[in-house]
Amino acid sequence: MFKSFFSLLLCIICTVRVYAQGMVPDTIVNPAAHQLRLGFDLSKIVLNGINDKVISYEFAADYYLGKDLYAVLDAGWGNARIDYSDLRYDSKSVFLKLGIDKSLFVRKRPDDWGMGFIGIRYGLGRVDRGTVFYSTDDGFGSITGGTIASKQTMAHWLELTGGMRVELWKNLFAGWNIRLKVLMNPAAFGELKPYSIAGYGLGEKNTAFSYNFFLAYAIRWKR
Amino acid sequence: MSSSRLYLAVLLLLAFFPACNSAERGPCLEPKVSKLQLVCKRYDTAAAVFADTLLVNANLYSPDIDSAQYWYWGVKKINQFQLILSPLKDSLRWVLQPDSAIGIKDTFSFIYTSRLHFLSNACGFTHQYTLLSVATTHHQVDSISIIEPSVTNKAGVTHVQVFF
Repeated sequence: MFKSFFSLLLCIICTVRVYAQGMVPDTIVNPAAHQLRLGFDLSKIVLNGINDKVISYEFAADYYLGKDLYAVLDAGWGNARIDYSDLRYDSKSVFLKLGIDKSLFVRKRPDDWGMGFIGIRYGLGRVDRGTVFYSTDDGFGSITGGTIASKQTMAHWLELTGGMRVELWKNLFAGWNIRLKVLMNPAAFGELKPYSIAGYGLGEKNTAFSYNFFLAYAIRWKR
Repeated sequence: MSSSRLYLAVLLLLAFFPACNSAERGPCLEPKVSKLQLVCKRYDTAAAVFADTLLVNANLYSPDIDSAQYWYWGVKKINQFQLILSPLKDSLRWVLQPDSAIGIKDTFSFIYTSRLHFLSNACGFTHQYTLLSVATTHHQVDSISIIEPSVTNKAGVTHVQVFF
């Protein structure tokens, strides 16, 4: 997965670099404007319709800091329901991610806010796992079962991300992110790792890969 | 960005990524039941070592569990058996008849603890065991010993050796 992710990320960076070199202006524009971009992840709407076990929502906000850097705040929540014949539980999670995006485009006009970027994130999520109902087959054909008490756990992870934002119309953006995530405290969940952690992905995996498709609106103002 | 259409095309292409996700339960790729592996050995006086010994026509069953009355029945030329322990008990007897043509049997008594273990969301839970002690009658069997006390779903592990 690491290999695939880095290959894809490298392709994006190379494409953006080549493209950017072809449109380098004589002088680099550094507008004295502020931009706050607010977006939500459309892909989650699609996934929520496909996946009957997981529902999640994700929002993103970024603020232009200057020098092609953006401060980013991602947030969201999600629910997961495991309902198998031998395993049943619900979990809820909320998350917050903080990080920086670095645009790889050289801007040639003050109103040029499109970007191809790479970035990093620190993710923090709270997972509330409900009571677990289970049954086991002891091998003799008989079934034993029981319950395990609910548990609340904090999850921490780091992300490497890359993607694009395109201004489709005045102040309206669309764009995507690909993300590689590394869970920093997998042992905190104990044996029963949650099926899904909103903002991270499959809780059983110590690394996760995900994709977002954002629709965003930019608010701009001058000093 | 003047060539935004190019990037929009890439963007829309990638919009199909989510469709690759699956909502199905993943396959369980590991054994779900923890089995105790028992191996039969005989002392080879010529080589002065304990060697595997194949039982002629063996029966192996548990008198404590109804559904295990014919666990192995008339199996030929075998020296390894996979037994199952019960999470509802803390001791279990298994009876080995090395040759069904001869009525001599030996009874093994396993004393153990069990614990619940989560394998994965795909596999669910299972029980694992820790062998505390094992005893045997001595009609044909000379002795029995625990090699690996931890009985899990890991395959290829010999837990108990029986010496003839």
